[in-house]
Amino acid sequence: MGLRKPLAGRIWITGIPGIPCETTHLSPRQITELGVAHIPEDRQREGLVTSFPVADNLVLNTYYQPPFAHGPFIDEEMIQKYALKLVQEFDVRTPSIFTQAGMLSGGNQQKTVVAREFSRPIKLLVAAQPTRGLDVGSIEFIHRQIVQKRDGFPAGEKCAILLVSADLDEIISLSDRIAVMYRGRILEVLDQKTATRERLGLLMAGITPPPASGAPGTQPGLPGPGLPGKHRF
Amino acid sequence: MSGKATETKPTPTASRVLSTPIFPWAGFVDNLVIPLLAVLLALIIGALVISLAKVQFPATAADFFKADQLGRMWQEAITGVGTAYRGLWDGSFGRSGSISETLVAAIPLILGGLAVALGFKGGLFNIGVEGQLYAGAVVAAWLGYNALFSGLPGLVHLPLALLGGALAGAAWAFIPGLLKARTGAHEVITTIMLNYVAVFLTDYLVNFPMRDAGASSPRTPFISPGAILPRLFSDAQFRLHWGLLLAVLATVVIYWLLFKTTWGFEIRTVGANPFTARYAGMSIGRNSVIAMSLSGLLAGLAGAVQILGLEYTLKGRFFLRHWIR
Repeated sequence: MGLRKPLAGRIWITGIPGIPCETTHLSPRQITELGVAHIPEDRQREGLVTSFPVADNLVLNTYYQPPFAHGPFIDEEMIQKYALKLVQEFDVRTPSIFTQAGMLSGGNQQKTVVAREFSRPIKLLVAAQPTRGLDVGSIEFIHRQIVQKRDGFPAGEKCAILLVSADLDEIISLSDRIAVMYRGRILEVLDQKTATRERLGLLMAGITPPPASGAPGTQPGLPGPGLPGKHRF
Repeated sequence: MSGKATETKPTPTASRVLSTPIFPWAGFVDNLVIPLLAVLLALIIGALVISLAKVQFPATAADFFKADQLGRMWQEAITGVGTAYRGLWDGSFGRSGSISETLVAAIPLILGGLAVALGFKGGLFNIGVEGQLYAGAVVAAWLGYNALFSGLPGLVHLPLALLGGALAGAAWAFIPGLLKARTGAHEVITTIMLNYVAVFLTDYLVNFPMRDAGASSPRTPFISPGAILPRLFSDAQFRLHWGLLLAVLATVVIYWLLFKTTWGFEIRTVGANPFTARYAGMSIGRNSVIAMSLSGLLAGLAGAVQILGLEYTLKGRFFLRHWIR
């Protein structure tokens, strides 16, 4: 998302016709303008300004664009109308759009972030721990929003989604493909259909088990003497 | 489709409730009541200190509790505090002339306070307002007395001197702003250091290059009439000048800038949560430099107003002289 300077490697966003797709050295704003949305890991630290009203938090990365601003002048009325619409659409439970975002519950804070990120035209969503610490209702709501975004519901283009999460249930229920990382490296990319919790758990611990289909004699997923040791420390 | 349930139609009543400010007077109460309570508390503590100084305490502890002694001490305390606070009142609000003087003293404090407040909004602790004020005063005085500009009509000369002073303050604050953005040097340290640089540089300038050769004490020549910020009243006992209206105007402009423009939105966001600001695509460094420079601009304006509206000449330590010798 441009928040950290890459030391090595290159990052590309493909499939956007007509615009340069390499984002390795772009700024957060440039990447946002390419149609990339980001649900940050820590909503209070990075996702919201807790002392700002909900309305301002809903335009945190579009405040400088029309219709919210004309040149350097902010159109407060437009922002409030827009905030009103989003708060109702995304069911953010708040006494008012002028309430400080920090006064909302965790679920409603996260819904505010989701509302902001989902309500502009996006091609890619990077969601980091989008439901961490939330109540069941909010989790379900946000999961539904993410899946709808993937499927292009209710209208519009389908959106690619990179879900980063430590919640195995969330990953298994939402993902199509699952890449397991350990110490900064991808150990394996699995299909959602073949992924088991056990296999994911071993990969997360840095152990690459033999393919689930092979080695019928051994219990899949359990570490044995024949495991490759190159990822072990 | 089950998803359709999530799309709620905005209802008129819900809209009205959601868009009503929760408690519109909340900010007003905070901003008025807290300063008033602070002043009240200061007066109470001041009264205690005055009493301690004024009351003649009895020699022995036994005398302390005798009724006539207690009455006498109470009387002394009341008289002492009463005299002091009546003097305070007379000196600040008692006569029309003293009200004028109070307002004269308030002008640089309004502008300087505004400078600090703007810095706070941008997450910056600008301790360097004093130095920026001196930078503004030096440039305003130079633009005011220099023969190069003395022929200019007041309509050009005065704005030029004010603008020059303001920009000098901005430039003085730009240095710590840039240092913070580039190297992370904390503005509290750098601005305090630059205060000394500015104050001593002013001392040097009024003693040597800018000194009025005909004057017995070190000061610059008087500014030309075209650069004078006029007084509000023709009566000589009222020194109140247009700086007051300038200060109020500056306050309104800064409010508008902070709350009605995208620049202000960025400055406030960076000040409130720099991590979120960066995530939202704002540049922390750029906004720190802008906020610092704007803060310095106001401080420089305070210095310029003080010279052009009140002092008419620049002396070393002119803004401190009542406190530090």
